[in-house]
Amino acid sequence: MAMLKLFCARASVHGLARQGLIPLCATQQNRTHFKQVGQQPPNLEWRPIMDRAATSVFWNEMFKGIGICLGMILKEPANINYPFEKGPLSPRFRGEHALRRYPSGEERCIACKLCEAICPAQAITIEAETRADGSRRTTRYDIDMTKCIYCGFCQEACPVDAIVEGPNFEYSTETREELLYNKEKLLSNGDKWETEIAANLQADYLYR
Amino acid sequence: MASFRSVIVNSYKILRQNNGVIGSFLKLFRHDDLKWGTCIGEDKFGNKYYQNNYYFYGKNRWVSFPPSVGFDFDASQVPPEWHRWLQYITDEPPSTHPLPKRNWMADHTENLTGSSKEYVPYSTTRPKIEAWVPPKK
Amino acid sequence: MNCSKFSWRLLVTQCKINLILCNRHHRLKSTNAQTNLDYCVEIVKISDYENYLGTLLLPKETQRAAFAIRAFNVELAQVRDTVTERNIGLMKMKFWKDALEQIYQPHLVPNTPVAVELAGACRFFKLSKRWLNRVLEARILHLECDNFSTVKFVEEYAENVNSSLYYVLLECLGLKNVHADHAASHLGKAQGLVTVLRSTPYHASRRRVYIPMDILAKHKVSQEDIARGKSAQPVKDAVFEIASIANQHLEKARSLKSSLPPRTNLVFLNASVCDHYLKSLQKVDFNIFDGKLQQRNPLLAYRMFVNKLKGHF
Repeated sequence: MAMLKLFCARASVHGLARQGLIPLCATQQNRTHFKQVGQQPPNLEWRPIMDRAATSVFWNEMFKGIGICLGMILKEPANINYPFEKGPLSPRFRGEHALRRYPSGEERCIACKLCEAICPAQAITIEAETRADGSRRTTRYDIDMTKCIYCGFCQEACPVDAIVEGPNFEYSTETREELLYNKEKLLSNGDKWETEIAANLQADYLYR
Repeated sequence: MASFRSVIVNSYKILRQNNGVIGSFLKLFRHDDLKWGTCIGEDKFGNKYYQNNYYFYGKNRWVSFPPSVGFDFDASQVPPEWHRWLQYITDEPPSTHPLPKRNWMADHTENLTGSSKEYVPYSTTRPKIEAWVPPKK
Repeated sequence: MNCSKFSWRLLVTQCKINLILCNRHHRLKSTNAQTNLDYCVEIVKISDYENYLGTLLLPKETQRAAFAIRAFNVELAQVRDTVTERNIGLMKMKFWKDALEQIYQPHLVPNTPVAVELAGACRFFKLSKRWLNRVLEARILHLECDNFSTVKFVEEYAENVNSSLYYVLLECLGLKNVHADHAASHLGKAQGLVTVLRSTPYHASRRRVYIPMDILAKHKVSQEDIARGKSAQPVKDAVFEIASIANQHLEKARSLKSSLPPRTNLVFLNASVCDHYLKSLQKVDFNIFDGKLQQRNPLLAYRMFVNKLKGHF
């Protein structure tokens, strides 16, 4: 008898949980909005059948496609005609490296090697010597452009603004060795691009 | 209607700027594009620079390479001061706002790769190890 | 009529002065020392035009030293904006710290134009290292922080940076006076606060806010409001409060004028920059994002020159 009572109690608790607790605790989904995903069966009334027949007989889709084609031909193209037209570039663009000079013509780099230290790709190699007049200058300043990741850290770390990443990006080469830049190449880059590099570095007043 | 009129006016201007039908055909053959615009200036290599804000931003400034380079034109033939204008870094062309020039600045050269004047890397330091020369007897 | 004639004459004199200065630069030509000086003048002129004008009005014998000191400041001030990582900034600062150490050791020749000029100035006028070092230390500390928590911090920073430069310049002129130092301290603070206000649009465009936090909190302005360039009433109130503190400092510095030794005003001539900015800020109803505030004052050189003649600042 006691056993029977226990079963009864269990059944009633179970019923309570099913009706009251579970819907409260769990999310229950009542699916009411269905969408047909697959192909719909064709409408087999007379009018739609005639419409479909006319579409295929008179090549409607073909003419629509040709019309779109014609429209696109007459439209102004969205791409730019590269060697003649060029896209906008930031004045802080980081392109080909260059070693700058002071306005007097003296080279800026004093071989402090901060760029060599900061370069994450270890693309820069510097060797320095003291000149006859006592100033310290580099004898070797090599950048392996195939290693360079163009992060611009060398330019940021340079305390005398000697190494910069100039605005030029059209220096692709036919052989790999041409990308192993030495000091002469970097200086000549600087001499060629200085007009633009100097003009791109401008500030109005001190912000700090 | 207005757009039809502008199409006709533009085609007339294009034909006139490119020396008639044959000139326009040759231009189209070389440049892949036919446009008209005001000539902003010319650099010492003979490149001419045009601008027409009728075309959208990015297509409104362009360079026309001189006939002397033929079909060997290259984007690196644009010198730095015009490069600045052509790439929209500034709105002031160097013809009206010349950039300062110093006597140590070098002339612009195009990308010389593949030619006999291409850059070949070399060491700028003295060699640290020298070969041993056997003493002569 | 008479007045306009007078001002015209002043303008002509000023032009003449500028011409004489330029000629002086070009006559002593193309020695190495001259190119170093030219470089210092050039970077001050490009990056710090107002102090360039102020320096031109200093007596001839101190001009060269003043340009060196200003150029040193320009180099340090630009570090924070040219680097993207703090460590790179610290590396650069270390470079300048080493350069400063080198300057104060005899027989050592530093190897950048600014350091060479600064060494010349320091050795000639026997400038104390303390002030220059303080500028450097303050700038290094500023690299670390991305905002100011209170107005007091801004004042401290301004005192360390701007006032120290004034102390050095006063040393150049050979003026040692308690009142002069007091005025320099107040003027430096005013200048620092004005710089914080004036550079707000520039920093906001890079999503940085240097307006002190306590003022922002007091007026219930979030940093986001400033970074987005909003000019609602609470923002204006906050700006007004900072501007009035700056004005108080400026007035305080000016009130000490009677007790200053002669020629001291030459160092403080760029007080008219602060004055002009605060006045035009009032005109645009304390909206710091107004474009008019970023325009150069065309009459600045003239006003400085008049102040120089009148013994005013």
